[in-house]
Amino acid sequence: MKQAATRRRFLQALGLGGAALMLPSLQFRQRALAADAPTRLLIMTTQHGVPREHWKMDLAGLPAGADGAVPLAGIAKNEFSLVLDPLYEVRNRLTVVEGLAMMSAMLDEPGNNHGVSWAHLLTSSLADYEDPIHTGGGIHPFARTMSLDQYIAGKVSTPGMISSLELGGGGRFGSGPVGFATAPDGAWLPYETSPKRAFDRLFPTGGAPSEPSMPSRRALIAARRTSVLDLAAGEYERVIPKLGAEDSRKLEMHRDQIRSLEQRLGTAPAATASCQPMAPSGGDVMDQFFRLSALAFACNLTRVITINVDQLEPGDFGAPPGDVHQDYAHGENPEAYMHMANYYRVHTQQFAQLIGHLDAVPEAGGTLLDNTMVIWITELATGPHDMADGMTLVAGGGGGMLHPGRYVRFAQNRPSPCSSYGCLNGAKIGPGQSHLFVSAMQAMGMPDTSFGMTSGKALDGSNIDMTGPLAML
Amino acid sequence: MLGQIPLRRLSRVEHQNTVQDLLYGLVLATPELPKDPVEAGFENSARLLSAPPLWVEQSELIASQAAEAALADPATRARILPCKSGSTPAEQTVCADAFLSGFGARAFRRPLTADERQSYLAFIAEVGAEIDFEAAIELAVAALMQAPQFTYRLELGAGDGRVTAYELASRLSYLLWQSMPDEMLMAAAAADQLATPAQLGAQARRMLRDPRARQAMVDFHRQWLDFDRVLEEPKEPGAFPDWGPELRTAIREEVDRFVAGVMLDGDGTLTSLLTSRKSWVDAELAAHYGLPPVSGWTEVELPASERSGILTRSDFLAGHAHETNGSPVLRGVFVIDRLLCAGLAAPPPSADTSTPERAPGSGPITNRALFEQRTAPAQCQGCHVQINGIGFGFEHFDAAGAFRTLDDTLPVDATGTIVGTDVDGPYDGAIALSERLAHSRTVRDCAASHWLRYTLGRRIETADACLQGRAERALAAGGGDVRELLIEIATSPEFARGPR
Repeated sequence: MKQAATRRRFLQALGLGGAALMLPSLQFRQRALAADAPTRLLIMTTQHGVPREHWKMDLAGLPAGADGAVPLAGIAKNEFSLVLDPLYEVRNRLTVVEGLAMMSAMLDEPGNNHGVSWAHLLTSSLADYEDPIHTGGGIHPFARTMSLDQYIAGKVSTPGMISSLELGGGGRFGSGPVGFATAPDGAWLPYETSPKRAFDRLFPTGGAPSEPSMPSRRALIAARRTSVLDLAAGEYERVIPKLGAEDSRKLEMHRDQIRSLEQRLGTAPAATASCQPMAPSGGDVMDQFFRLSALAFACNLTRVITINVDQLEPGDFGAPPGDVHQDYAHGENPEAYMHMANYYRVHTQQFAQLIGHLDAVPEAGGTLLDNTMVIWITELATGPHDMADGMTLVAGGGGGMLHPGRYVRFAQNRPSPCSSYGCLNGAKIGPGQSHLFVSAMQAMGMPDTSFGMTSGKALDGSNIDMTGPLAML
Repeated sequence: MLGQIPLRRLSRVEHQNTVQDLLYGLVLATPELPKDPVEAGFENSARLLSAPPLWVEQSELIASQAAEAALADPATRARILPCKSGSTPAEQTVCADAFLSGFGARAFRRPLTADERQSYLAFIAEVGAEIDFEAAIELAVAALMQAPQFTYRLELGAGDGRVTAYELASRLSYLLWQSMPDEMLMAAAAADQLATPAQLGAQARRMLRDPRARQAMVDFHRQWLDFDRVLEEPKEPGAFPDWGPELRTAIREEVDRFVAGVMLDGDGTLTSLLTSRKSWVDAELAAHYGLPPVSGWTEVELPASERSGILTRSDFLAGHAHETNGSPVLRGVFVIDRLLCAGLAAPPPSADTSTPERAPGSGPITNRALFEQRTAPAQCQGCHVQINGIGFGFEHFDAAGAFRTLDDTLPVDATGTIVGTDVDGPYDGAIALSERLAHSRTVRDCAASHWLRYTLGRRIETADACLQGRAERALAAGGGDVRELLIEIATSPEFARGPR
């Protein structure tokens, strides 16, 4: 736990260890550890929102009506909220962020906020309402642009890597195995729903080194799969110049994916102390995905993963049979709030598992978690469709860019851009999630200062700046 | 005039059918491609069908495994490779050439160009020298199945504003079969026999009689009418004793059989789709529909007083319901969206979209009354006068789609009033409602526009007005016979329009 020790020393040097921490003016932007390990990004998404009365923590030292942060190290277990309680043991490895808003969605046209979130959550860009999906639940627009993870993956992946993994799926009311990740044209990317298939993708040759002597005929044919891809990619090259701009872009992207697969098939990862290709077995599906994620990072097969956790069933969180969406998430009564708190408690337990798996892999004098930025972001802020004052968790050291172990509050004192569905009726709000996205890009070593929309107009006419990283991370 | 002609990747279903047909019907146990994103109900949207890494990896596995299986199966091998293994190098070159002229052209859905032929011959020679000739052919099969000429519907055009005869053959086969052209269609393209409306019409009629048209016709309706939704909808345990995986599967299968039976074996009209009492049931479904027992799938007539057309089948009714009761809102919105092509605004901020239920301790109340109470406020009525006016017509059907005359011990009221259409007015029950919709021009035009969208793989644009008008007129003139609509589309000048 070198990272944690470094942080303690850092806080002590500031004279702040254990005391209330007011950080907006402090600059933490420095690289500390892990010069020889790449930084990774993992974004976990879950469905619906979290009842505020069951997750927020009113900790001593947190200012009312202003931004502020306090360390979690000295917080007793019984001070943790019902939802966040399962994170007590790993509290020094994460930061709880209170009060962010899905700003681009609030600046866009109104719709059913589930669908609005699908198009906005990871794109932070205006959606396409021209020809929306009509369902019983109302209007669901399309995303127009690529999601944060895809943008980062495109910048940081190197030849031979899987640029990004999308795991989990489901969750979106029967709309198939997709999550929130979108391709450059805004199309939702398919998610891998089977840990076994995901393992086979990561280790197409089973992870074992191939036999050195006298390969069989089938092995020779299998080894030629790369030549087949090369031939196919060549056909793409032949065809692309004959097409118009848009069509050729599509085929160029396809060709690039074929080339990337060709390189991956041609280079089996070298097993190291941290990279031991073993298909995860036992545990539930999400836990298997978490372990696979740690493995994929440890073997340097990818640097960007999104995990979409399916909507839970009532039995998963101890509720009587019912429609989770209609009866619990949208229920506006104390009983439904308690059920959704228990619902989200399951997710915080899962998040603790995920952090544990990443922290169990030794790397570059620390652990894999030190070199990873883990973001957990929810579809909506609350069950009844709010998009502001949400719960966000950030874990890991982000390669030295992050300083976990705190509860950060962003005051709801900024002008709101919207008065419609799920927008707190025009009440003041906190900063946009876009700042967190900038922090993620910078943790990944990118120079970007904005992602998606850069500004918008609040109801009072003032400008909303959506650029720059999130303070206090 | 025709709007944009975007490049189209084969959809998951098209890819699966094409692999199957390319390998002469060989039964494969290959992995599945990831599900395609859905736009306006359809899974063949050109703009959404891209090739994300997962798709490329799965298609590589499919190609590799299918190629291996094809060469390992003697009958399939004999058709792919018109020569014996162990023949001399000179014979192998001739054989490789024949392979590319036959199988290669089927994979590319046109003859290979000289350049293409050359690169495949070089590949086969290289791998043949390293491993063996059969291995080279197997790998070439896998390569052909990953080439853009296979994966996409490449349309480079004939240079005269039209697509080439081979490209037109593919348009026809993917419209009517969701698969590649067969030998006869390829032969017609080769002989330039797809040039006139008469030639195209004759091919289309022939193709509509082929079993592949059944499967495609069913699949269009699956997408348009959201048949799969019922598979996702849970029901309250214990409340519907017959509800279970077997009944749900049977409910789902019934509508496939119904579409095939009515739209291809029957008169093919929208009227029949919306009003026919024909059904195919198994033992579970017969009991669910209150029919005498049957063994195995059996064609039956449904009770005249209870059910007619597609909107009275449990696939729609249980698919558009909550766990405990039917949803007049989901059912009404579906009809407005998919059959009347009318958009609805999102519910307002204050809308309570949870299932309305009887307050604890209060007396019996019907589902209809609960929804009437919920949607009574003036701000709801703007939309709900239309939604409920249609949705209440289905109140004779519970959450599982079973027919009922009592709801919570009270008599069912399934009267409604259609508003905002060309068939406005009061009616009583789903049969009368279906009858009304079956005679609506709006519904007919809406069906035509869904077919057009499916044909083009994209939104309908202003520039498509001619083709749209043609489709609408064909459907009207044919008495709502969808096959006439398809033939009209296939023989229209717009259908052969190529890149500009």
